[in-house]
Amino acid sequence: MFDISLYFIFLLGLSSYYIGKNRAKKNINLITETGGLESHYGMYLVIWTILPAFIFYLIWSVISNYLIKEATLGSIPNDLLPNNLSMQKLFLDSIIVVAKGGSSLSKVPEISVAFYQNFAFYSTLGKSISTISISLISFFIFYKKIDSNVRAKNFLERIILVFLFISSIIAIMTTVGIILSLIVETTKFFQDVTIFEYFFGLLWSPQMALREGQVAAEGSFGAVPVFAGTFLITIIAMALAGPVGLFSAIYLSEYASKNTRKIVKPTIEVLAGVPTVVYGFFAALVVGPFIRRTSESFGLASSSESALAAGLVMGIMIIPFISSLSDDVINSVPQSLREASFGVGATKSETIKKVIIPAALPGIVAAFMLAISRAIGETMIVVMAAGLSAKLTANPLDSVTTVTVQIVTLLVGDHEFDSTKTMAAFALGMTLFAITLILNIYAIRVVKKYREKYD
Amino acid sequence: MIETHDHISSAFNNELFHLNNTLLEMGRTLENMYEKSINAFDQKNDAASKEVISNDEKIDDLENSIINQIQVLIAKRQPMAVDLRVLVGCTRIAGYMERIGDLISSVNKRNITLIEYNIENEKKDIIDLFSSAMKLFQKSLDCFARKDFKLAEVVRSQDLDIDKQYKYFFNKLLEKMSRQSKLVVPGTHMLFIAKNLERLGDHATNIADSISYMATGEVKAPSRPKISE
Amino acid sequence: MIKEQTKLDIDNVDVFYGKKQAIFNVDLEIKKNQVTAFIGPSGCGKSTLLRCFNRMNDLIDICKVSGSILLDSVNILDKKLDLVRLRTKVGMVFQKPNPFPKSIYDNVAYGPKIHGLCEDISELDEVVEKSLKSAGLWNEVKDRLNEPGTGISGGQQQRLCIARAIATNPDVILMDEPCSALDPIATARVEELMQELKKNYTIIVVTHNMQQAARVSEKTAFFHLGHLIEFGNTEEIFTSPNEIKTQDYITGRFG
Repeated sequence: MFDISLYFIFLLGLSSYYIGKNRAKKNINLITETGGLESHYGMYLVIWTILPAFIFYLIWSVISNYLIKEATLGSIPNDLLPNNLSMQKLFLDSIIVVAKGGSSLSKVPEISVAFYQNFAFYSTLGKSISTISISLISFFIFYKKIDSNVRAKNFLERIILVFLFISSIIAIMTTVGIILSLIVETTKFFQDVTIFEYFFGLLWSPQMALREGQVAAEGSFGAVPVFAGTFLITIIAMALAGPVGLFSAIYLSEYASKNTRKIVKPTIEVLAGVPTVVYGFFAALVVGPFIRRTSESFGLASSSESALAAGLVMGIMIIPFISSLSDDVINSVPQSLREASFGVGATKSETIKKVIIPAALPGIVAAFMLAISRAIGETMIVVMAAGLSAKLTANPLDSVTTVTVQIVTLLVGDHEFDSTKTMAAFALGMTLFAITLILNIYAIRVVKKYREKYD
Repeated sequence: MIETHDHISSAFNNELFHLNNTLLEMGRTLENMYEKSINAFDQKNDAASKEVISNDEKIDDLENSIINQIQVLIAKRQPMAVDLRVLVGCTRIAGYMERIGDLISSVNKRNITLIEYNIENEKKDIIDLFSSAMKLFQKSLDCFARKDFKLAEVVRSQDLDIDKQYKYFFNKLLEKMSRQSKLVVPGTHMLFIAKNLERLGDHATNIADSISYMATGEVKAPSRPKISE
Repeated sequence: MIKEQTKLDIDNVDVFYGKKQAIFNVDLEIKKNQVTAFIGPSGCGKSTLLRCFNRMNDLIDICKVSGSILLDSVNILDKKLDLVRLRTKVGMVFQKPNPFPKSIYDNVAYGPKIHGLCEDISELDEVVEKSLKSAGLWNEVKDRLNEPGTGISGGQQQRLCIARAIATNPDVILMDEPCSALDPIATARVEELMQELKKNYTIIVVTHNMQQAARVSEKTAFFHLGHLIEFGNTEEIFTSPNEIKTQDYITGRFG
């Protein structure tokens, strides 16, 4: 909700920049003594004019929002108040909707609507008046302070520090929040399904639980086939993208002429920019049928949805991740190491094998890790090309399903939020997260062990 | 001319310039002492001779200053090629000048002793020797001031004339002394004066040689043509 | 026996980078078992010429070398020449110490390994020890041969690089400003080492440090703008050079 007081403090803040600057200009000793600039004092006054008032505004909004709900709930006549807590919430929401000029299906008490409107009016009024006054007061206080040789430069430095700190905290808190919600939902899931069943069960068919009261209402939540499918496809993708990506990176950085490189590298990078849904229908409509026809001509049974089709296309998709990153890393291996190797009579391929790859190993592993996480997390191609059936198979010509695909199918459509099926998606997400985390930690350890550090 | 361009380091140029000036000052001081010595000898002025003797201290001080400057220059600049030769040459020149100072004060010490003797007949020969050596010394100073190593060749050849002059005077005086016994004491002193003046000419030549070494890097053979005594 | 045997005979060498000529018609004879220093201002072509001796310039596409360079009467500029063999015969030490990010042992063993110079491990051990001893590094590293070569001090790294270069048993060692990244003590060690090494090898060193050239070399070549200005005995070059340009350069009078 935006109201006039915010406009006011914003405008006041804008003009206070010039006011602060002018004030600093008049105080001759200020600049020489504090080592700041006039504009620092402009910013100083802007911050003090806007920030306290704005923070006050936010706090008031949050508190009043809470108070208004409690109070309105209290104003509802007892006979109309539902006993169920969630029904109370719904009832309150209808009152608020009506109070804001909307309409509600259920009958709401006039008295509460009026109460809400009143409360809201006075709260907004109070909020606006106090915001504006706080802004004005702090404007004057700090306007005066400019006279007393305050060090605006240092103050601004601190403000920037606080701002940067908050930004980084937001990123961390978001991650923590996601993990926490995953954990909570996953715990709920494991109240319905045993950990043993989830990790060792060989049957995945949550669809059985669609209708309530069905015999197999619980469904089957053995995650093994889902993960097996994921790994199968990832392995196929990496088997294609790993060598192709790495070798093209070596070609680009060590053998290709400057001009070739200038053309080839961006072209490969274009692959990364193709939307995955395009890869998806490419996989489903071109590669899938092609593989089926080919394998049938060899007398092998195959469906047009196969792990191989999805894996191959996914491999093509992640080639640029590997080749582009590895190319950068190989390029950053100092020329002096190459010269040293050539200097003792090593050939180009010996130099690459014995010096450059070991030196670039950490970066190459990082590129592979990124590609693997990309492959594991990829959804669209698999949905379109690999199928939905959770089969436990090592046959790449068979159709399989992956974790991400299952999460999508579990959450698409109408279901209750707290059904086992929904929470299974969270469990899958959590497991996927844990696996990538472990992979990353393991990769770091591998890198540490084998890296040949150059400086 | 030895110098070709200035150094990139102007401080180096200034230091070399200062060194050059100190050497020139030393030369001028010696020239001054020398002129006074001729007059003191001619006029039997023992006060003037004493003054010249006291001036020798200044020569020693200047020499010390030069050696210090060179020492610092070598440490700081690590000179190469012509710079190296200039500094080595200057070290030698300062040494020769210091010895010339010693010779002049030695001449004056004998002059003070000679005052009480009558040496009117021999005086002219000594003064001739004085002025020949003076000319040679001045020429070598010119040679240094202008860094002209062609002039150094001239100095070298003129040194031969002084040697001849000395030889001639030596024999003449020795003969007189054998006949007149009263001449034995002043004659001995005069022989020493003449010898000192001859040595002075040698040092002037050495200075000139050092200059041609600075220019070419060739060290002249120490065995210059000499007339045996 | 001829006292000064010619190791490298450089005849009429021109080097072009594209259209730009970097070396003009250089004639030079490098004597066996001597240290020859190349001096000159930056961009004078001394490093370029040095890199002709092991054909390092081949790594640069636009670089063209003409003329002839005879190493023991074999023209090393011959297109058909086996570069691998040449580079085992002509080792190189670079400006910045550049040990491989491998263990000290593997750094020295690198050359012998890729050329299959050693029959078995014990022979390889011997070569590594001998090379490290020749490079004066053995006593300092013998207890930590498996530690990374990048973990030792700069001076030690440079001597490790020298050990790596002599492990393939070369005839000639090229040094491209080998001490420019080292402190004076480490520099003195490397210089001392050069005096030791010249008994068995022919050394060519490019240096910006005139005093170093004067200290370590028997012969000095002065280059300017791609031309060989003066070549002669080091003593003469540094006390009384024949060319004004040489004198101006070594006395710090260059514009």
